Amino acid sequence: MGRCPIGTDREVTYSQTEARRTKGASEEPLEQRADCRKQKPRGRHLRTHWPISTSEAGPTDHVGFIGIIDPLFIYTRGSWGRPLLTATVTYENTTEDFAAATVTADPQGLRIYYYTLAPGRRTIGIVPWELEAGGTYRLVYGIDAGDDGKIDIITEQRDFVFPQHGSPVQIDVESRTNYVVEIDQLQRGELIGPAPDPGLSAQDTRYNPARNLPTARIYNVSFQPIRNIKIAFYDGFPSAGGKPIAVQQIPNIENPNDLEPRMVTVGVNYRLDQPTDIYVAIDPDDEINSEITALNNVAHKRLMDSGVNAKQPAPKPAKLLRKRGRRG
Amino acid sequence: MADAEHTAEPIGNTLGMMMQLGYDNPTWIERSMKAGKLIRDFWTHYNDQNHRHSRSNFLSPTQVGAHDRMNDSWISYRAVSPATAVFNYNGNPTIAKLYTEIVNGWVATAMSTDGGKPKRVIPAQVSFPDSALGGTNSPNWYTASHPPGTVNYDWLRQQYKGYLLDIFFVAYNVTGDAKYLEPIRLEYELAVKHGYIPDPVGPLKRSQRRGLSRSTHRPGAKSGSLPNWHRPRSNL
Repeated sequence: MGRCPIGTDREVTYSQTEARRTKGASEEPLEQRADCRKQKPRGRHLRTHWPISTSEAGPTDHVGFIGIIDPLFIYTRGSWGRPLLTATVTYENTTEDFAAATVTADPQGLRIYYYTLAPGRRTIGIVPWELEAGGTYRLVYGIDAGDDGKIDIITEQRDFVFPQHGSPVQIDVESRTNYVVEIDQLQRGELIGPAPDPGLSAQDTRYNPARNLPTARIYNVSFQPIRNIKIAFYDGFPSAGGKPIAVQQIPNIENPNDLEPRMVTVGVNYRLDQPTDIYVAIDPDDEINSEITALNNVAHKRLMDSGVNAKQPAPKPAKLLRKRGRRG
Repeated sequence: MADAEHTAEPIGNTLGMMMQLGYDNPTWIERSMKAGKLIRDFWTHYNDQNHRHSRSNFLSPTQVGAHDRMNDSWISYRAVSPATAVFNYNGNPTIAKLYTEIVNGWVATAMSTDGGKPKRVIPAQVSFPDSALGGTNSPNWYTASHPPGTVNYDWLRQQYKGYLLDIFFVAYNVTGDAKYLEPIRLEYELAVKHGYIPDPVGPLKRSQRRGLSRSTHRPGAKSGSLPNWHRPRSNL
């Protein structure tokens, strides 16, 4: 990241760009001074304007562009490496109007400063990716009235067993209030050995109106073969009175150890006359002892919704090429 | 097709994160596995010494670079990040085997003293398939060739080394064999021996890095020259 395209070996740093921005603001158009390729000015383009100011890093820096890295690291205590830009903490239900600084996060716990501008009281989820599954932790969070990074008024303290990676820890926050969130490990989790993991997603849940057939595609995303798993279909949310439609059994999904995806599609005969919320659950009786995650065991989709399931022919490659040509 | 530094970004910088953000969605795992397939079937192959290495530092799903681009560089492993994410998720044995093979090649390279390279030091590039340290047509093990149209890397800048070290750690986690950490440990010891104690707090600021690379802080060193401990020496 941070280099001009091939053929030039000049690195444009953030500080250099900033210097140009302040010194030459009135002298040259933004597009020209930001473009290290010496191309013709392009007019107002997203990449040349704050906050998505990517051009100083070269036009090919798609994701980890300058201006986004520091906020990501501050909010999530992310880091380079592994899958690039790994986050140790992510958030749920915050809205975009919040600030957070994760000052520490590892298997032994975490510490976060949190402030939101979203109105009212809301429940947010903190997803701690470093905590050990099966470990016991103590959550303490409260208001930092003195703005010194310490909890002055404890809002809540509770102990919990962290069930699995990807699970959120929920807390309630008020608007425009400084919070400090601390999680400390009380007991270590267990090492997770090889485990099966059947999974599905909403986008793989479909309806074939010609055959009255809601279907779901079930993946094996572990490296163990999966035998005799049950897949349950429901009309409506199961725990809110949804009606069971049928249970299907898949005898076998091989493992994807050759790096080829392995999946099986199952369906049930069930006529839908109107848009309907269909829920699909893997292993509804909880017969699989341990999985990598159970978060991918349930998916929900509103089928027969106008336009959502309408089959549209894929554009032909020639059309795509023409479109690109016009754009480019 | 272009240099791996940039062509790897659309997958290397996104899919691993999407596996985290969309943890309950198998789609991201499926897509990330394709990086593993490309590593196995296209981007890497066995070189003349029967070690698995990246064939080029110019990569795309359908092409790899030729001629002076035929170097296995640290940046080549930006493209494999999604496969690392898959391995971290489910421990896929094919990915584990691939990474172990790749790291075996790099450990052998680190231990090589060809061209006067100090034993233990991990070079920035190895040519493919003939294993020349420093890369294809490089003048020495620490300087790459830089003809027009190439993006080759000199060792001195230590740029993008983390991508390679990541898969060293995967190989170690898979096998528990300390040999996969050996080059890292020995490089550390070499740095300490010569007064360059790595900062455990984090990476240096750009200005500090620049100072280091020019070795202006080192007594007796000329600005812009290669620091002494970077030079091949027989007693290293």
